[in-house]
Amino acid sequence: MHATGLALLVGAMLAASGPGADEHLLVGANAFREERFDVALVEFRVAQSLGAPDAATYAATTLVKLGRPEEAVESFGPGDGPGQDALIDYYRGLACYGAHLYLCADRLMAAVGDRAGPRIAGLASQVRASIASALANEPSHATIDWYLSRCTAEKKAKRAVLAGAYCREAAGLGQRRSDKYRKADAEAGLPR
Amino acid sequence: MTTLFLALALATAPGPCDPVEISPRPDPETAAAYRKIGDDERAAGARETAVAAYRAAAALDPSDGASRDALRRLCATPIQENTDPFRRGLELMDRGELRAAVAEFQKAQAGHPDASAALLEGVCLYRLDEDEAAEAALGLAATDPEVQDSARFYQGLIALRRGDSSTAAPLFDGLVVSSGFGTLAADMALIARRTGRFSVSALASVGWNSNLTLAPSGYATSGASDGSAAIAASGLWRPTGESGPYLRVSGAYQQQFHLTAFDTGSASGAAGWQLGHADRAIVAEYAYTYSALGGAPYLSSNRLLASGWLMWGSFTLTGTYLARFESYQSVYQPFSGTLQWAEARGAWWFGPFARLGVSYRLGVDSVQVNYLSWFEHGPHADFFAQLGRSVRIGLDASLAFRTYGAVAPGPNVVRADTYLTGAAVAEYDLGNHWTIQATLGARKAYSNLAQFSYFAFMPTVGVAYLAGF
Repeated sequence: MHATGLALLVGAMLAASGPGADEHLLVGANAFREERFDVALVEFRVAQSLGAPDAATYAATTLVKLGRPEEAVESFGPGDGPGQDALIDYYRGLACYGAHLYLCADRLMAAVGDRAGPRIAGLASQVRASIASALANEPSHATIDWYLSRCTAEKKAKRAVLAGAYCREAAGLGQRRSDKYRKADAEAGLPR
Repeated sequence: MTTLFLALALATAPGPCDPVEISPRPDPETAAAYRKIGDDERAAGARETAVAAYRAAAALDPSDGASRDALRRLCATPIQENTDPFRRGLELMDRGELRAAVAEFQKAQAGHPDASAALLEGVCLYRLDEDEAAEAALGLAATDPEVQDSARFYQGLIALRRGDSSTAAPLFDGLVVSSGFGTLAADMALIARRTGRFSVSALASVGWNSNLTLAPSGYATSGASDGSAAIAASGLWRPTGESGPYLRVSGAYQQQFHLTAFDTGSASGAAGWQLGHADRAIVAEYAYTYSALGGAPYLSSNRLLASGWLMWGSFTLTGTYLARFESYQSVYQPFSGTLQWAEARGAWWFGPFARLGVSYRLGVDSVQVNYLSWFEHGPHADFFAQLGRSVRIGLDASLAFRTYGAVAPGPNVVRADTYLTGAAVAEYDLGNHWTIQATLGARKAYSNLAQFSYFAFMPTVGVAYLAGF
């Protein structure tokens, strides 16, 4: 069902794409709908290389389906606030969740609400319940250290979006501790 | 619509590793785009996607030998299951299920090194007090520059709690400048240099007491005040580090400038056992103390103490009980008996450098003469803050309500006192071992018998030496 939703979104974007990119977006959308996500990703990537706007977002969504959340976060691009499309927000939230970016995921899932229909709203609620369980306890120092180390590692790997997401998560988790552990370090690591 | 045709063809293809059917409309340019994506996906370890991309490239360009070779190699590689034990480990760790988290982090490292998982496995084991296993995991993590700093910090903590200050201090030193641990590492390095399997401390101070003789309020107190000089020293031996048996010896002497009848001296020895560490532990201790007053024997006491604490996040709950069997000498003999004292205390850390403690205390002194026996209870609070790299302050306040055991002869009433006590201390570190210390203590006693109401305050300045070996 979500695959159909994405295919419709892609269809709406075709007018904005170049002639070569159109074909790849369409093929990608069809493959996505048929749950042949490996083919869909390849097609969206080709469309992206041909300059199709938003192809990176569709590739990111497909990466979520392929269980590659960290690459998906990078492909969705900077910023982790909700966008105009609730379905994309839902996939973006799943990417954050899969990449252990629980605060990011919670923000996005909270923004999904009923905008993408009752079924997605229900799924988003389930994810939020799972996040609430993961965040029920005060995060440990080691957890925050881990997020900061991931931020550093992703910066070195030149995945700036993912690095920023990990630093932002570390700052948010630090904020949830009474001792604000390494919050300043995390904020200093955010992209300026 | 070459690609659309290809997609339809792929849709009916029997499998990703079956022979590639050549497209009737070759398109080498698009094939190159597919091949690049195949290369990227293969580099990312995404076998299935890389296969799909190479198949498309090979179908659109029959001369694309690179894609065919890559496809052949990928198809010869067995498919690996996609699992994420790391995520489960992280969740379990934050829920406090450390043993289960260790198992997940170990799964995450099965088959391939994963420094992040090794680091968190080490941290969990450290928190489970399994230091040897923790060190092995942290050693693996420390080989990866991306998590090396965190691994070394925890290696330092492990060395510190086994009393190995010579290993701990350089580990923390190495993190002061180059890592995000900065101030925290500097503080831990200082602690490492001041603690160890064997540690010593000494304090020399001068002070003044506004009412040494406890002259009642409202009476002339001239002659009741006096200055003093004091020295104190102690040594602590912990052969197995923080957790395990220990021996402590200490001595103190205070010389009054004028009222030498109030000169005091004491010597003490203690043997105890701590089971556990800073996050949770129990302690049992025996101590013997001998005191002199005005150059004459004053008190000989044997003390038994039991204490335990448990930490949840930034909150620590502590319970302490002691019984001191006191034998006073000469004219003080009627005060001989047994003092029992208990405290329940909660302490909260506000950030790594500030702590507030709140407790309630109970005391019972059962002595030879029942009107000198008493029961006391009341609240207590203390605050500690590290202000910058070298300055610490501490504040302490208590209120105690004391009721004596029987009607005192003479006044013919049961004596009842209330004590309000406050203290402040400021310390400035002069280096790794030397500290300047200033204190101000004050005590106000209210009593239903006027002769026992008094006020006194006591400022001191001193210099302390602390070292660990």
